[in-house]
Amino acid sequence: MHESRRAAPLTNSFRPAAAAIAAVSELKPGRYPDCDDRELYHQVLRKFLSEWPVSPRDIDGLLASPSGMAAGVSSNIFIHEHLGEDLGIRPVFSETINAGGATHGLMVQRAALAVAAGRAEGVLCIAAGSFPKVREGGAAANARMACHPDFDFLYGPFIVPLYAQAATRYMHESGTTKEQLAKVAVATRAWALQNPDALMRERGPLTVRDVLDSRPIASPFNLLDCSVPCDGGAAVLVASPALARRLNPQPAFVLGCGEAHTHANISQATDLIRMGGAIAAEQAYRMAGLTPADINLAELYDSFSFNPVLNVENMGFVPRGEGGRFWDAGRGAPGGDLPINTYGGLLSFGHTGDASGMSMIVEGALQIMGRAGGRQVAPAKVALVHSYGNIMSEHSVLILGRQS
Amino acid sequence: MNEKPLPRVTALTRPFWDAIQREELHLQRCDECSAWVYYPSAWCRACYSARLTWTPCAGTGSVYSFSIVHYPQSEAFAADVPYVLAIIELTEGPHLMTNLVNCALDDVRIGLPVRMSVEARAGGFKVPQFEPAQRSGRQATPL
Repeated sequence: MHESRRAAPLTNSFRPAAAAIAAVSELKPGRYPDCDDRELYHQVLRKFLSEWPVSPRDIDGLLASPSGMAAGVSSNIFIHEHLGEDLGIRPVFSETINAGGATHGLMVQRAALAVAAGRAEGVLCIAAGSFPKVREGGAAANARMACHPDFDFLYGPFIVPLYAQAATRYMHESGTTKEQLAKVAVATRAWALQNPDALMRERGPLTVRDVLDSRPIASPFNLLDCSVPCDGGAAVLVASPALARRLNPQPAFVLGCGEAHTHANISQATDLIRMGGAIAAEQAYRMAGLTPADINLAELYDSFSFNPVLNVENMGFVPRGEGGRFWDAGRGAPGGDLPINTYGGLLSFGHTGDASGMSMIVEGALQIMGRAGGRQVAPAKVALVHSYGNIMSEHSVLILGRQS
Repeated sequence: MNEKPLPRVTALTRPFWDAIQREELHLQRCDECSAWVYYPSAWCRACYSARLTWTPCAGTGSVYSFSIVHYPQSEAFAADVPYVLAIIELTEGPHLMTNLVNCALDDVRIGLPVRMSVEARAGGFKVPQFEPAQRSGRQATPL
């Protein structure tokens, strides 16, 4: 496995704060049985246009993520065309893009680069998704895409035991315990209790014992170590600073971004401890001229309780092997010094399948904008938003901030 | 889907599967740089040479990581739960995903020495599996 050969280091000529997230809206996660997938995008659009003083005429770029993949059914890779037509706009910058759960972070990055380069002024990034429960089918079809269909797929994999490969290895190397993983689920539920939209809010608080006693799915994961499948969607407008300020007195400026793509099959990942997120985070910090110590809060893609343990390390918040102790100390929980997944995470807010990578961007932006309601953290000057696609195959890191 | 899956066998992958039918593990090896190559490939992933030769492997290795699966992926695997999905590090270096079979669940651990066995699927088509290099003699029991 080689790092890409470059004549010079990444120049990151993108000027920090040359683009901003001006507006965000997200559907309440749940089930939308009466919507076909295109109508679910329409629900997102209607909510977005009702919540913000944005006219479709402000939108000259449109990036969409395809729906249907999480369910293992065909996905509409032309959805960007349909949504442009439905909005009555003729964008100059538009496509449907896919990088799994990293799609949305990369949409924001692509949009920010286009805005910074003057290709577009207002790029709407939109996603809608549906994630069926495993028992309702789709696990095999989804696994066929998530690993090699003619080799790894022969052995009964699906998303949970595929992620578990990374977790088991990490726990072996670092001495991390199942109790420490459970503490992520407990802390994340505590955040969800403060978010009126979070799917698991009504279930009340969790204890470590609840997690450890929940039904085993695939070791080391029990049911409550896993995110909650649901439907949902969100829209994010990435705009020039001028347009952003017209729409919102405090936009979330894109201070830095990074991405990395390291493998397709988890069985072929050469390092299950320092993964692509660490590479993406280094790029983002360098671009922003910031260090992990500058981050006030972080939104870390948490399809399983394990992932924020790994990723507080990979984002540089704690040294290698100390992710478990971060959660032991309650640092990411409400009242902690580095709030993590303040909206309730995919673990307790809900995992909307093809739209899941939007939720942490929306929350990171709302925190920076000072619009996070009862769960607003302070200070919220700089937020890191991490997301990944497939089995931690590809990673996006965004650093958002108040300053322009 | 009640039958366990079978691979599509292509011109590229046929030597791998032909060897498995003989209960042998053959992987490609680069004539230029000696790197082992998995999955079957038209080029060496280390040096990009197209000169690869199918070469017998020892069929041994150790468990690199694993998960004990309690909830089956689909009906095809329902009778197997709990089953072990594992990444095997071959003695030669490459990592393969298979099940770990013929192993008491209490004995499953990272580093466990394993050897290849085969599982016959529909039509007698064999796929590789791995089992402990030293059989425990006990049957797999649920946790």
